[in-house]
Amino acid sequence: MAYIERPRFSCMLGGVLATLSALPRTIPIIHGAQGCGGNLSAAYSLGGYLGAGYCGNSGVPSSNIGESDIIFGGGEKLIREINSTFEVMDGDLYVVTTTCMTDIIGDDIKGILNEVGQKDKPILFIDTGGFKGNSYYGYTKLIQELFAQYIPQKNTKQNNLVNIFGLVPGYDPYFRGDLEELKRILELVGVEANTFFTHDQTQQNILRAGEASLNIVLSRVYGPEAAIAVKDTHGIDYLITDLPIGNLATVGFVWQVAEKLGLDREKVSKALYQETDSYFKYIDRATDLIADTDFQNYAVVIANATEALPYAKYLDNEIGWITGYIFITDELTEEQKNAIRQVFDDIEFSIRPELVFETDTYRIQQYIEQNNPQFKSDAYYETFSPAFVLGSTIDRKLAEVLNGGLLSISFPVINRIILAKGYAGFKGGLNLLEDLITGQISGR
Amino acid sequence: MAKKIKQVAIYGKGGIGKSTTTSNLSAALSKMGLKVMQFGCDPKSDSTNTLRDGKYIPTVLDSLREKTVIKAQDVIFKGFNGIYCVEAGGPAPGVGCAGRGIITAVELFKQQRVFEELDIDIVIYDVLGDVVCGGFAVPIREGIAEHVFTVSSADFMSIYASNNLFKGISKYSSSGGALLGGVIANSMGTPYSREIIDDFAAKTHTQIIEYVPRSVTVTQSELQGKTTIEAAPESVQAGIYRSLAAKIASHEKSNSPSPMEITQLREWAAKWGDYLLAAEQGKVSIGASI
Repeated sequence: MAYIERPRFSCMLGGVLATLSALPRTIPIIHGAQGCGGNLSAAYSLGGYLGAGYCGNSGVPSSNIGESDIIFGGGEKLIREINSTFEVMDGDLYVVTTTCMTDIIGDDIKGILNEVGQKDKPILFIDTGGFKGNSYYGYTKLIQELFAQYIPQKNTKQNNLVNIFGLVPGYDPYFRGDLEELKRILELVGVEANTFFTHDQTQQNILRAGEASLNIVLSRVYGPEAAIAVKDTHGIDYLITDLPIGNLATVGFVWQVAEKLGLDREKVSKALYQETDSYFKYIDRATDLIADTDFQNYAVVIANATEALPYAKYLDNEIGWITGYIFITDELTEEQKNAIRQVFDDIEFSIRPELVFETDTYRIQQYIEQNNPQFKSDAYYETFSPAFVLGSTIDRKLAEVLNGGLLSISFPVINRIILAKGYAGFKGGLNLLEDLITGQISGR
Repeated sequence: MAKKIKQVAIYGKGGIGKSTTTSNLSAALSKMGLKVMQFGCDPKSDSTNTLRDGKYIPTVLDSLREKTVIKAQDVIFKGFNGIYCVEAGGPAPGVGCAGRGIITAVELFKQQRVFEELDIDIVIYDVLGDVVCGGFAVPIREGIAEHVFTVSSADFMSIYASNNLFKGISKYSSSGGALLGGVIANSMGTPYSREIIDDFAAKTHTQIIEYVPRSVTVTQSELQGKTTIEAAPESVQAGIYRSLAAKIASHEKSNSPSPMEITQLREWAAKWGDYLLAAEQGKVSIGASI
């Protein structure tokens, strides 16, 4: 990993713990020193104050190994911790996660699980040495392991059952609201969705994931690997697409799913018409305010590889803002960058933004200051104003430099609490419009 | 002013005779009137056996496993001629981290000022052969040992391990780490083994501190659970160990070696291979330079 100033993710274990905290009645068991669990909980709580969930934050059991466990092996400590967890923690699924140090010394977790495994309490193991990758990688691997170790393979599929993947709890801060909305929309066209993370979900939804006809992955880089593996093992087709925000994108998304599942076109059209109609009735109410205020903005979108393009697309296609720059802040391979560039090239922008892969917060500001004409001389240029930054709370400085507003859409989000809010779908598109306008008039 | 304690680390490939050499060295140094401590840094914990009639002693890490605070006195045992024997110990094979064990054991000792309290003249660390991870490099960095000697035969794998050790020493040499005193050439049996080890020392800019031949006396002594110095003090072999001890006791100046790069080392070994093959076929005679 390169040196990153103010990184916008934590380690593999951080992603896995955040994800497990969002699963129904799931108990993680950390095999590592006492710092890992606490620190990583602190990290994922920066996703709009994610909170503990069923078993997260300081409630997570940890073997809390010390120096002598490192020297002699931490297996015995883990066995004790697993047995104690079974005794005091009431869960439907237990997942042992490892840490850098237990991975380095090579404790034999599979052997230990064979020793302590209890048939009435499912317990899985995921190898999560923090050095293996970042939180997004952890999410992808966890989904893959759930299918590999836990979700039964089913030959008979349910035609209109899908699983939705790609949004990482905490690190995609609006994941739950987004999933709720997409689940609602799919239900309108007769499709049932396992989301794993919305509050209606139980372990049954996870176990039934093997019966789904389609895995929908809302990210070009986080989840496709798992979906491809699951196609081989469970025979589930996949759709790798983008997070739909607002009317146009959501209509497009639903048609993509409809095509894959062979849904009744008339039924889909009817449902979408109703949603679109309602959507624009709301927009209609905002038009006076939009017309009266200098609402059109130049925008900078700063987000992860999953969300940056969908937000930029919404700003351009849906509300007519001019996105000058899209910064993608994850550390990506060239192959992953190319996948993103491909999607970017296919989006129809009225004015094409500049797509920049940049992991360092200060360099994002530096990039704009060094490249935007208004910062280069006193000569007349079309100024980047009024400006609005859709990024993380840590992009506040950039918003100040641009003399513009800031809406926290990407991790870390610490200037607002996120509970049920989402920006995906029809309702999410309206939420986003509300927040963008409110951001400009809240000083009134 | 407190007297300066001499701290020496002996490294070498496993099975090359490192512990045998170290124990005999400790015994000979002790017989010279020096107060000696031998510190075994090998998870096998058998470095000091021949100083204690073949018996194992509880290790630093065994004590650590049982309690969090360890008194140095609990893990120091007197052996032949009053030599203080310590074994770092380690985990069972296949679990945990032996390297971390060495770090912990050495640091525990460093903190407790044991050497000063026991008025020790010389500490000999007997360290597992290959410097496979940072833990096994602890005695040569952080100002613990000042001088390193490597025990090596003329076998390629032994020389390879020594060369790796030299890399470790070079790495830490500029930051206060130990320097190389020289090579203790062990198991010198065949006529060409001395030439090979001499050539290796020359190529890496170091010296041979002593040539120790193969000897049945050593085997006989070890079978009694003793060093040669104890079991056969009048033997020729004991004389060689005494000579080695005298040299190490008076050794003052060590250097940073020039390890060979891996390709260079392989080429060097291949040349010797060709040469030995030619010698076997009678094309050249041993002693001719290559």
